[in-house]
Amino acid sequence: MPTDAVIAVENLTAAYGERTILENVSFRVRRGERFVIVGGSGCGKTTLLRHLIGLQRPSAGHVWIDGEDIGQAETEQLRRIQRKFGVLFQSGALFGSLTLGENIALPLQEYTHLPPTLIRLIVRLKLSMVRLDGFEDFRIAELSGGMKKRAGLARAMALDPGILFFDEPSAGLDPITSAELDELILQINRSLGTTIVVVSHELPSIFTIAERCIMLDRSAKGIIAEGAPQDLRDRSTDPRVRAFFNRQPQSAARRAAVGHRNS
Amino acid sequence: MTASGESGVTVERTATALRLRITERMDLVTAPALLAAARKALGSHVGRVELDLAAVPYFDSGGGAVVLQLRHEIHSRGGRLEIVASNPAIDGFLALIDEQAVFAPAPVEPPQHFVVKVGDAALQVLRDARELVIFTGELVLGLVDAFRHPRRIRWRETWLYMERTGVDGVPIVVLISFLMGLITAFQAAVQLTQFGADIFVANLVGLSITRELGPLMTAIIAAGRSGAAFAAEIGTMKVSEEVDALTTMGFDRTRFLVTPKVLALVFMLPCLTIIADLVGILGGLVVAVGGMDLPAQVYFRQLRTAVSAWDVLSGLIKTVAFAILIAGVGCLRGFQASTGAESVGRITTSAIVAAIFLIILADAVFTVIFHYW
Repeated sequence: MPTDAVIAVENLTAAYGERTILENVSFRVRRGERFVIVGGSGCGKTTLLRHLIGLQRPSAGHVWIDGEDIGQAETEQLRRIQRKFGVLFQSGALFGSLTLGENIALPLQEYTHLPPTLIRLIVRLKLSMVRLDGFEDFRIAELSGGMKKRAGLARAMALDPGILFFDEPSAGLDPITSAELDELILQINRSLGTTIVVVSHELPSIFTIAERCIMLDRSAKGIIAEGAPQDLRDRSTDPRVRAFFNRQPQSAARRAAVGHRNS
Repeated sequence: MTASGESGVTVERTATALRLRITERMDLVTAPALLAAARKALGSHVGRVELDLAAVPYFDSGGGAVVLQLRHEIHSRGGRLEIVASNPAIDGFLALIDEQAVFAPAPVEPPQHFVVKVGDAALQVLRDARELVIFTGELVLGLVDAFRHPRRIRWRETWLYMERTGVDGVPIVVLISFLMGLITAFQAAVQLTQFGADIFVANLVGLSITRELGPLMTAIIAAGRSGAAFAAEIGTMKVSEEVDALTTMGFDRTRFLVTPKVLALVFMLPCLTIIADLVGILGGLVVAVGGMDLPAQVYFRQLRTAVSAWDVLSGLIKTVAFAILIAGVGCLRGFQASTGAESVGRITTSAIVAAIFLIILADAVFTVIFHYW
């Protein structure tokens, strides 16, 4: 495995019982890259993400995170690998029983030996990074949707992981808030060199964030396209890919596919 | 003049300032030691401090915290800290932080006046009472409507809840009431044999099971099983906006969510109680036959003279009231869920506690009523 690939997926097959979602999926993510996994609903994006972060085990194949196979790792090793990345879940997944500040302090208290004053300082530092300064004593229920996402991001970054995973960062956000979050993701990537892996189907978000993306498809059960989103939009020969990136209805894609076959 | 410090921190005094040079990783692990070393190196220095971070191999928020904390401390002494050399990674990191915001005092809400707090609490009690009255009214109207137009009842749900609250609850009711009969008989046996009045074990077990223990234990089991389930189910529906969806679609939340649950429990709790009565009496029989050498026929003959139909019936009448209380309080608490998993947990606990309290209270009222009947 080349040293610049921080994530390497090899021949991954994912299945729930008898139902196979993904078959023989392979791709690599370079260190410091902004990588987006795209595709329509039900194509297995979220399943793929759950395999990448070790919530589900592959039916076959390997998922290498920083040289270690998260798909085969057991408890202690799994936990050590999982500490290398942060995950922003779709709805933030902040703990409702804690305040915002306590949510971010939790991993610091559990995994470092920092004194309380420094933890408090780092919590405020993280909050200032996601522009939520002054909200540390707020309860989670008092935060708006966009604030919850940013708070979730601050918690995901608490231990300064080298990789950040995002599950549908724009879902449920208004266009402005969503664009601000994208901007924040870019800034974090540029300033800290963090590897960014995003699962999304929001085109504006994809075009802003992605340096490279892979597109999954439900019937193909795997990757049908790989490359920069602009290239895929303008130059892909696959009608499904063009339809997705040009935001056309499925019927148009099917018509195009028929025309493609006829020509 | 150069003074060497420890753990990768060196300090150098120049003509105009103190120059602090850090050459090791500045991360979450090294931060406390670095901060201590830097503080020691600075001593009580007042004035300009230059920070040289050019040789730092790794920098994360631990390092950021050290820099900010040092700068804060030096500033508060009247000095100044400047980063004179760094590298792109550190610049990028520090560019993300709004330093003033980090040290800005958290907005403090002014403490509320005692009178305001008392007033708020009183208003909350009034709001709760209002909610209770509205809910009770809706429940009564819903039940009256159900009796006048039985076809409007959502029977599919009602059957489902009858199965869950009734049939599924039989094993635990059987187990507990059998043990209750056994325990009662044992306790009675010790006293009764002293007076040679063994035969009266049938009276004691029969009466206490049918009049009190059967209905009460069954109701408490139902509160834990069904009342809690109702509260958690409606609470989760409320949190996930399903209740709002029902309301906006023009449906009556009572008819859809409450009436089937209340009716199911009203039908099933008496049934469970009859089973509990029978099994409890059998528990007494086991002790009478096995421990006191009373023939089974004698036990049953004595039981027939001691326990009247009214004893059993009065127990069953109570369970109808218990059922309404358990299901009603479960649903009411469910509707009081606000947001999140935590509140569902809280209202479920509250539903069980309130139901058990109301059961005991109602039982006391019934005892007095039946006494003077």
